[in-house]
Amino acid sequence: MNKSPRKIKKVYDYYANKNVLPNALNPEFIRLLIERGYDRSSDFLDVFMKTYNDGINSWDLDGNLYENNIVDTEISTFDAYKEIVYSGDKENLYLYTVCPFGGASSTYGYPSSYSDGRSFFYFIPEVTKKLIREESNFYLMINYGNEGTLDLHWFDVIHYNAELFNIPLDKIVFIISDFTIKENYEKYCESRKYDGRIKVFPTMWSLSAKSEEYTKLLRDEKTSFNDYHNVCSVVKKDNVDLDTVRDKHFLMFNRRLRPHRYYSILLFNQMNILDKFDISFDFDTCKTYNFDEENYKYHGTDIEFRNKLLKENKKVESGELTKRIIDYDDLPNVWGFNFEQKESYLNSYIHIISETNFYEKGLYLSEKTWKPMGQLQPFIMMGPANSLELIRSYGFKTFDGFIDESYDKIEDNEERFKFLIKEIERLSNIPKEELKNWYKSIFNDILVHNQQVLIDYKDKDKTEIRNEFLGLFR
Amino acid sequence: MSGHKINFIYEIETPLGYLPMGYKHIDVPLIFSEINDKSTFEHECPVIYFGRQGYGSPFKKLQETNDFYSTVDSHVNKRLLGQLSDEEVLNDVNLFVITPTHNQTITEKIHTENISDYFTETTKSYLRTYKNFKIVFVDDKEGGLTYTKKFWENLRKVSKELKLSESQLIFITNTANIKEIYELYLKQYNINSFMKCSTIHFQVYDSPGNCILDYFEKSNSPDDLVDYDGVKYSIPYDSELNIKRSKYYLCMNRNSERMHRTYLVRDLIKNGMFDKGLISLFKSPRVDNECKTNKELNEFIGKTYPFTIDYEDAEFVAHLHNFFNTKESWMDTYFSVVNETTNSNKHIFITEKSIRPMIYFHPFIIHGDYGILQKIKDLGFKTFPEFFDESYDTIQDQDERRNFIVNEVKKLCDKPISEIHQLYQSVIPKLIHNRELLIDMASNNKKFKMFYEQVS
Repeated sequence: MNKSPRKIKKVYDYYANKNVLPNALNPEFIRLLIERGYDRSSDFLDVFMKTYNDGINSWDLDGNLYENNIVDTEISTFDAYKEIVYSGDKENLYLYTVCPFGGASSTYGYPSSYSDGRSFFYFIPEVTKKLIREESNFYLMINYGNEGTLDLHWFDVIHYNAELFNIPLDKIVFIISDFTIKENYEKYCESRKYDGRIKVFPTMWSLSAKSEEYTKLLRDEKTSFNDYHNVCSVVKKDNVDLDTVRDKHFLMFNRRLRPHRYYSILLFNQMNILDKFDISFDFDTCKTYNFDEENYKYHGTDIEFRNKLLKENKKVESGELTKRIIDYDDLPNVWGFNFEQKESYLNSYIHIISETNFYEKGLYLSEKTWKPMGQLQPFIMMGPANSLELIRSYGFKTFDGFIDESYDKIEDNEERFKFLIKEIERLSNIPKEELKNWYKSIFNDILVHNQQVLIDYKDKDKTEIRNEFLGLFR
Repeated sequence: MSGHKINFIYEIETPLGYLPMGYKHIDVPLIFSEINDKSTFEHECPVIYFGRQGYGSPFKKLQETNDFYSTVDSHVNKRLLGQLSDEEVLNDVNLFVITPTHNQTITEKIHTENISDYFTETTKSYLRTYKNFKIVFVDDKEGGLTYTKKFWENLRKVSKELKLSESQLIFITNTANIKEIYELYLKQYNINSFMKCSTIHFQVYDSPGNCILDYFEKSNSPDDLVDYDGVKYSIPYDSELNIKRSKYYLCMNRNSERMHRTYLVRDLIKNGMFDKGLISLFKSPRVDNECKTNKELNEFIGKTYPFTIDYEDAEFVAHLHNFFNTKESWMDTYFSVVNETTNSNKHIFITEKSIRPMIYFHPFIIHGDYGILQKIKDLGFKTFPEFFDESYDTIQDQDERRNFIVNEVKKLCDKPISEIHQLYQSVIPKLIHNRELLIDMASNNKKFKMFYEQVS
């Protein structure tokens, strides 16, 4: 397209009663939808996952999940399809969206039991493939914008299938919540000696979503998430007694015990500083990572450090170190939205953001990053390198000076992790009175500022992002 | 026409259009797979989905395979259930229409499948809640089928399950006496009426009249041929009614698989009338087989057939327009011996075979279902007691009816052909009336109006 499209329209193949059906879904898996009268609301995702376990989290079950922060998308479903087919509309941009929502592997054909190893390309109707091939304003958009963890081998699958089904690479757009995607994709293509390129675009789904949630909470409005309708709360400026010393140094939420969380809990325990934390973890129900000598190889080479961790891990194996809770006891069923309780944030000074990713490739910030901003807490980021730089690019302020934030530039994951642990240990030795004074000193200038930046984000002019996105199609 | 708006309601819209109602949901994933494999919106021939041909009917971009949809298309709205507004839900006539396919008749479907399997729970809840939501079976293809106890019981079952009122379950068919058949079932099993049954002669309305008009629009003289789907056809002008003909009768059969047709031809030949008329009868394995044990059949049919009039290729003929061919054979004969699709004593089915003589200005005698002639009269067509003793229509015994018909034909064939010519001249007003009635039946959306009356 040479000029900007009038509208961006999402396109779906199948429409049943009131709902669009997920695009490029293995038809076999619509049985469940049929039994439910094509109703994808409520607990459908849970039922779907239980029925088709095997790592399948299904796709695009919300149809338009969080896409409106990427571009000003008009959801026009099937009518858009007809419009382009029958009228040859060239003014609007049509995006045939496939959303591997939380289930990228199965989308790309793994595990093979999902669809005999076939990727989602197999399940795009031929008529749709033809439109992607032939219509200049009709694109396939793989919308992985809700996730940020990327296995670069998926690009092999995309390139392979594009060739197999004769779909031009430049008619494919890949969206992911990873701000290193462009560089990483380019490097990967060079290493694989690929000629053509798909279009890749990073997005930040979590910021808008959390901005919406905190705005509601600040207005004392109710929030909900899926079937959850918890009564939630947020720390307002007036709630904070700046002169009272808080009980704990740190706040750290851990649900799934991914490696960096697992290791840090072991180390905090080993350092005897867990009593300075409001911290949640559950090695019984949320131990999603199996820590042993073999698996540690993916995360570091320092044998001494590894052995220290392994030694401490015996306390997990023996049941000595099991579980801590902060607010909600049932950790497996705690989610990033509609579980906010201000009390959790009023009892400590520094929020340790235990991001989803640490060792993984890419730069992905989930909703976890924005919690301290919303709840008026300073933070230290246990996440990917350059996270703070990205956070600051949105106008937030961080805490260099009091916290040594040079960790943000340490690309080596093992080194960054060790640096962070040392820094947390240093901070744990700071008297709470001193923390109180520091907190007071930055309260208005940084913490209240950050909360305001966060709630303003949802209304921020997205023209720049939109234009950048549309630039892909020119 | 005024009154309520009619919506055809569907559960699924696909890249190729609305998925017709009437699929078992267990089959839908396979249907989707098939749709996914189709590479174009424009299909040259009907799409076959999971053994169900004729899928294309409600699909705007697929070839219309079902005449019914061409009748109603411009008069109804097609909507997904979930897209109906509150006002439409409450006030419109909302129909879940199930039509036959080329390889599965409606009666087969109803006989063999659980009807409620066609509907999601959402749809069922609408049917239970709103009396203006209805299930309509439209059998516009067949009419000569057997309606067993099981057929009616399956309909009754869905009526009970979905708590349908009498007006919410409708069966519309070509079968001319469907009401009587239904009432007989109710009486036999002492059951109160739970649905509506009605007849629309889908094959009589619209298509014949439209094609007649089309021919005269496109032709300039009696010698002109008009193209229909690659095949030429012609229709006699009024000015040709006085032309003298060399043969007495025309008896087109082509397909000999239906044995009642073959028996009639056998009897015509046996009575020395083969040369008096034009007869077509193609070869068929069934006839060949029967000839092995039936000496008489072998003598008069097996040894001499096939008989052709216009086309020799059975495969080609099978794809011909049902109503039309070139007029030579019609113009060389004075009357038609119609060998109908069925000759039952239970149902009555008027097909295009009984209509063709009216298009081509032929008086006719019908070897068909018991009572068929009366039903044709009821539609307003004139029949020809001047030619035949029409009491054959009231003879229940099939052999006796056939013998009577053969005898009537023989009586005419025994007369000088000039006398038949005179007789023909005497019924010309009736012949013109019949053809004009066909044209009239194609006007003013009569077929749709009948449909509307049945469903609203």
